[in-house]
Amino acid sequence: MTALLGVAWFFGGLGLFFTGIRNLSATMLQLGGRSLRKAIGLHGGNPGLVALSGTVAGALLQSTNGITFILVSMVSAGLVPMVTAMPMLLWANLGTSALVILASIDLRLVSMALMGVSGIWLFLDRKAGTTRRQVMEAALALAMLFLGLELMHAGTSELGSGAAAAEVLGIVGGSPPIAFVVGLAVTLFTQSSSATTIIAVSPSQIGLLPFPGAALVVIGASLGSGFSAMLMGASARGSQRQLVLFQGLTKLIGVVVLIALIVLEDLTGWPLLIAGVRAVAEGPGRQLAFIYLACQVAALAGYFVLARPIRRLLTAVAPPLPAESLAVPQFIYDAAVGDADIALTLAEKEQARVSGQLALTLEDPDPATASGIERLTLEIDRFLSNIAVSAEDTAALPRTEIDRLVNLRARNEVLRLLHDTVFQLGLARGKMPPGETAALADALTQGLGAVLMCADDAAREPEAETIELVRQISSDRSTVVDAMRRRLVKAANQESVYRTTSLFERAVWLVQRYAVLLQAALRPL
Amino acid sequence: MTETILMPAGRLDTAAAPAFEREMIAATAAGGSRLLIDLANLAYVSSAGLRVFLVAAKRLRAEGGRIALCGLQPQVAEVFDISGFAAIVPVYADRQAALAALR
Repeated sequence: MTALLGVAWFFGGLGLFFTGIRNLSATMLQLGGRSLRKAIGLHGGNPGLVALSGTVAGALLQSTNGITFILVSMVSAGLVPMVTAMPMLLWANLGTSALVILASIDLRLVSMALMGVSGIWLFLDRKAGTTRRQVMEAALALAMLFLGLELMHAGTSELGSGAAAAEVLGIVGGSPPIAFVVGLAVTLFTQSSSATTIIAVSPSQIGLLPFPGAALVVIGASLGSGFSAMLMGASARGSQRQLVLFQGLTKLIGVVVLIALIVLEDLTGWPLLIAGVRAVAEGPGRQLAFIYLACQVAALAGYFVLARPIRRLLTAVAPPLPAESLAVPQFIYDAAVGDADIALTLAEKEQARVSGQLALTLEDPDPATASGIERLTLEIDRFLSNIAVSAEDTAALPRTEIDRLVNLRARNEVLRLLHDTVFQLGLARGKMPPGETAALADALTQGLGAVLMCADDAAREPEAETIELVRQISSDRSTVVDAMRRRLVKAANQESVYRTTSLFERAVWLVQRYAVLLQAALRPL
Repeated sequence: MTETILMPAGRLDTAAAPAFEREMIAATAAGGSRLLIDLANLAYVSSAGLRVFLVAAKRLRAEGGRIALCGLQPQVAEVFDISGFAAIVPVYADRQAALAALR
């Protein structure tokens, strides 16, 4: 009967613990997601800031899956380069240790007080969605988590008197391979190695799960969280897949390092891990928190030693998607702004990537590609702006290059607007119902596509005659477009006809403007 | 000097454009050539096909040659109008009128 009560307490505590950890993560994401994104974006490539923002994000969100999701969205948006996202994710893993460390401290008084204050506050304050309420919800989630732990602890003590439970935990604790597999399997269920570690603390504290075995549960849990991330991201592609695989691979490296230390410790008797942790930390709770911390530190160390091969491997296994590659500059780089002549040539080459995409986007308007091109044009503009700033500092930019710079910035803006217009036109064409209006949209697409291809030819090989041809074929189309509108005046979807033809006229006008700028760039100075 | 006459048929799209471009380049290889393209049998032209006409026009113009199109079916003529290529490449109603203009 006592054992049954123990099971009930443990089970109830587990429910409270899971609810607490899930609510804590969700509330913190709502509360600090935007600020965290901002903080993550402000690292400027500084390794110290990357470490700080990653650790704080992990400590606050307590969900590496949540942080992976934030980082994936930021990498996709071009706000954080992959080379920064990778170590940041590892620092975030380290940040999740905060909860494990907190759980190893006796916080019964604090957690009860927290539950009382937050519960009463939420009962009285019924105004939804305020920051104050979200803070209290996070506090309540944290209190629930700790209360769940207390119940689990009490339940485990009761279980201790049941021979069957003691026997099972004894088998797990007595066999390192079994302990490792149990840690891995439990984490595949909980999807959180910190949760598995915290769950292992209670039986370890009352001696049901001996420390060496409990340590292997924690190490297995670390690998389990890597597997869990990889399972969740099985359908991911491009940079998302890279980050997910990175999480699994670095966890594996960390686990291999720790197991190697344990084996070496067994062979030599040197206090490398198990004995070392026992020497520096008192009580199973703190000792397991140290092992958890060691898993994260080993993964970090492994990354810093093997960063380049890891990045190369991941790029080969999960290459960036075409749309992601489009957004990444291939020619411009910050160090080049000091030499204006070279920098402007690089910017011109980068712009040719945008002009080369115009006809393709019109034919196949992919939102991810459109977003990639938008980011690329913004990046080119930032680069051109930096050339101007650098020239202002050095006062070294000759008049000819100032003209070239101004011309390139204007062309960049025209290309950005033109790409957006052809994207919208491509979408509008896709929505046309079959019939005469669809035939019109197809004719507009083929006609404009040819104009865009010629504009791209002129951008890549800016000869006077080619540019003049582009200027001629992008002359005013109002007569042709008005004739079409008159012909289709009785068509059912008038709004679509007007939108499509207006976008077409706008695109042609922008090509004309682009050709004029190309001509201006060619004129002798 | 005689005129070279090409008569593409069916669809001139991304798949067919490279072969037609090669045909046109071969036809315009001799300097100062006069090229007539009869499009009476052409049912569809895509952006890639259109571009080939402009490439040929540019090439011939540079070499002192001339180009003319004729026999455009309504849907092809509309795409030419929309693209603005009709302003660059002279278009005639029939082969006779085009030949007369080229001579």
